[in-house]
Amino acid sequence: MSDSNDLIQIGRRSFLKNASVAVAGVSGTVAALSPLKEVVGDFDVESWLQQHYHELSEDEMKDVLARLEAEAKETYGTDIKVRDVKPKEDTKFAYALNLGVCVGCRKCAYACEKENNVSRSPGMQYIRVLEMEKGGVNLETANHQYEPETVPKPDKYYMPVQCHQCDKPSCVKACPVNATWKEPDGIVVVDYNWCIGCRYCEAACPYWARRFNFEKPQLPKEEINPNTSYLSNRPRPVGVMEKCTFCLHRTREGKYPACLEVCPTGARVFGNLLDPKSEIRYVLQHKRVFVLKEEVGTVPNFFYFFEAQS
Amino acid sequence: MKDYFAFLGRAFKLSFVGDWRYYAWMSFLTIVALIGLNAWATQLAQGLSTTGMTDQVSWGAYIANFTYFVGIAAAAVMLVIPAYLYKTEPLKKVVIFGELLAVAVIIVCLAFVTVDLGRPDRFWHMIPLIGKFNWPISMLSWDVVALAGYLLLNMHIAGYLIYKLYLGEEPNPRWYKPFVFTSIAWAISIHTVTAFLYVGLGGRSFWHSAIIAPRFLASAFAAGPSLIILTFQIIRYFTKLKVADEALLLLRRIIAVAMVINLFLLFSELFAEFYPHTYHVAAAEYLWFGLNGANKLVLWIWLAVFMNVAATVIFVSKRSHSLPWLNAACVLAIVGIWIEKGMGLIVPGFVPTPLGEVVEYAPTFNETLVCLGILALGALLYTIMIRVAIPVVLGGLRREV
Amino acid sequence: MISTFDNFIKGFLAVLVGLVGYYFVATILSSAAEEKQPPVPREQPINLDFGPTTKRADKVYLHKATFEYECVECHAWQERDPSPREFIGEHSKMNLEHGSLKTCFTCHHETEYDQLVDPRDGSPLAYNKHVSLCVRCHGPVYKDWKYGAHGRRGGYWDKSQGEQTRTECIICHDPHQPAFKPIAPLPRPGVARGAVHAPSDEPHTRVGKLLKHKPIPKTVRGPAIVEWEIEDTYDE
Repeated sequence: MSDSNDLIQIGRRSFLKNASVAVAGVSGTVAALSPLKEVVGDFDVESWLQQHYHELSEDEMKDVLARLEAEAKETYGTDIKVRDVKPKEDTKFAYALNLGVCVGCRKCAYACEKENNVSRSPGMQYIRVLEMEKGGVNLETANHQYEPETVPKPDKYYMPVQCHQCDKPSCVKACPVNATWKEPDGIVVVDYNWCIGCRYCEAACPYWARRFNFEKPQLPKEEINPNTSYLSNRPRPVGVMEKCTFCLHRTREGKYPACLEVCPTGARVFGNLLDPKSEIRYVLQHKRVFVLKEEVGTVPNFFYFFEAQS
Repeated sequence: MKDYFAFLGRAFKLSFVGDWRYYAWMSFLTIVALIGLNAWATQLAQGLSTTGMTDQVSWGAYIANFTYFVGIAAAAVMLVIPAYLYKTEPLKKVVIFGELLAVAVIIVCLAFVTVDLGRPDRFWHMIPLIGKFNWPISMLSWDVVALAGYLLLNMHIAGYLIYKLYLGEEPNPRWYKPFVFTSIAWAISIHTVTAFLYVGLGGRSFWHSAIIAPRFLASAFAAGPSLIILTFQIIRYFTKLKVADEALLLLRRIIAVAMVINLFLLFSELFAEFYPHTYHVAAAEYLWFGLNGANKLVLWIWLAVFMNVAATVIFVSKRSHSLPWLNAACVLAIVGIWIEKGMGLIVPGFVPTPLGEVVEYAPTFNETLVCLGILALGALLYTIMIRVAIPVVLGGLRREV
Repeated sequence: MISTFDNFIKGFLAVLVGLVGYYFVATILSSAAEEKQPPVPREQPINLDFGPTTKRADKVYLHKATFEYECVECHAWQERDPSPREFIGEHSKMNLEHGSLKTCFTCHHETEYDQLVDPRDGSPLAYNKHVSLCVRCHGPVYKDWKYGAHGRRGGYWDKSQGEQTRTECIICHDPHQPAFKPIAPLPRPGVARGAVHAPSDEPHTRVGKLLKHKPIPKTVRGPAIVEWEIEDTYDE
């Protein structure tokens, strides 16, 4: 058989030939990998080896926070503070939105973007305001890109959608590495240093609430919010998921989320479901609330109600 | 052990030896693979914004190709069942080349998943005990287990048999028969698990249908053996391995049945979508007729249907006993099912988004280069495997005593 | 000897050419891949209006020619005409579009010009107690406002950790034109890649069809724009 004859004849000439082929192959591979030169400097071994949020001891967490502050300083030139804000006891957050009062101005979307250091890449905003046709709740005819002279238009109503922090979240079920989970106070969070960027959670979410960093976040230095926390609004790297966290760095310290603070019409209601005297409980008891896509069974904690005055 | 390393060394050297056509083929594949590697390096440097994917359509060509090729890999079982269970003579000689194809194709699948990840450097997060593996809750975790297991199974089976042949020893049935029978069930499971990735998402009504898993299997068992038929003829032409026509014709019968089932399932799906015509069928509406003026996929899916129907007709008719017709039908089936599973399944799952937004997707040039590079890698690996396996099987490569 | 050396040189040159050629091709191809667009800066700063929600209404002044006048300063020497009237003098630019209200004295006291009127007994009511006047007609909304389902709140949802602010009626609603004016929305979100196909503007529902051709009234529901200053103290 000629094949084994080929092998027997391996001598200096074919060795040189083979060696040069091998060298060409190796150098070709190195040349192919040349674009990685740009990002080789960004690679940090400590960051790469960091364990999951739940596995970090208090001291390890302190080191991680310090490292994140240093990274932000290097990338953006600004001093930021990254804290690990723990959940409050006996708290379960919920949100309600008065569809009769929302005028579709989108101030909530932009306030959120600023508060949470979201990339200014188009479409990244956690809050998406839908222009809905009056007479039903039909998402198929909703317009996301409305830009009339003034809002509201008389034949439309406006429905902001953001992460609903579901009680049975499809995204948490989907994640293969447990990079996203539901915290004890109800907020569904993402560990940005653990996420592998597979985007299965984004496919799983029935409310299109999750965002992925397809590129390095476009974050203008002057607009960075320096008060950040590990699980919510600290500057994120490329290639990881993120989403609304009900501003847990504010709400876990008793403040309102940014979207609610800025809403000019007071359409948003937020609070602790476990407090019977809270505003959110009042709304759930006295208003007729509904949730989106109830049939999907995710049990959202974001309620819509209509208290229209015109 | 020393023998084994010697075997690997000889195999490595042998893969650089061949006639000018072999060199041309391998150089071509290497260049395409390196171009793909370069494109991937660009993607790693800049992020996935080099692809056409967006938050609206967050899975594209990579996952489409992954899904399709998992089906191809599963189709090796269509050789294994007749060869091992029914001991069909013409297939017994060539089944090992089907198993080697499965190995190459699974590596292609794993490559497609890797290039789709936003942070492939964090792959270790998936390793149980070292990282956090969300098994059994996450369907992706099942997919990882299924694909890794299938790869190891086939590597072991093919590797063991080849090595034993090389040594001139009789393979011990205990060391391959149980694995072979496991691989039959496992092959079905890898494609079922991949289907369940989509079916398990209740929020996406285009995918939340029980018919997806049976359609996956039916189309895989049509496209996979079609590829095997074509590959075996190429092997028969370029090497000394004699693949009997009966082997090809047996595969033809399997494909014919699978194509008919696939068409019936398609008809069933179309009825379920368009007769009641609820608002949940917006995605099917987009795929088949266009939505809000977005209609990039309409031509493709109708082309795919046409190709599949044509392929089915040819496979079922007596004409496909002749090789030119058979090959034409195979090409139609491979391409038609690729379109149907890739563009016809993945992209419409994202259009419209769960909030009703219609944003279209098209792969970018860079993305296409990565895909081609991975395919070239698969072809490269498979060529090397048969470059070694065929001399072993035919007796030309034996342990030197 | 010579032929081996020849081959070596040929081999070396081939490798060199291959490397250079490959690097060249790879560089061209990677730059032909997607060019990164620099982020487009926004043209104007986005006005987010995070506040104010802490003003209370105590007194009302007329601001004219850099002076501040209390209402009684003019009305002290004017003759009182009780018949329904047009808006004259300093009130001529005002529109009254408060539902079916046609007279001024539903809310304003007839003789105490710097006070409102309590409709239960006609006694004067200070401006900073205007909520108890609005509630006489707007009971259900008052209840919602009291418990947080209506109106703007700010600061802390957890009052044990900080101060919570809420707005009183006339901070957001101009009592003469309580319905809000429409405002310009902030820019659309856009999409990173790929074309967006918006739904047609034609209405799909029956209600939508009915409302499509409804004329847009002058004041349609919209966010608050308070056009006149409310001082909370008056410095002598």
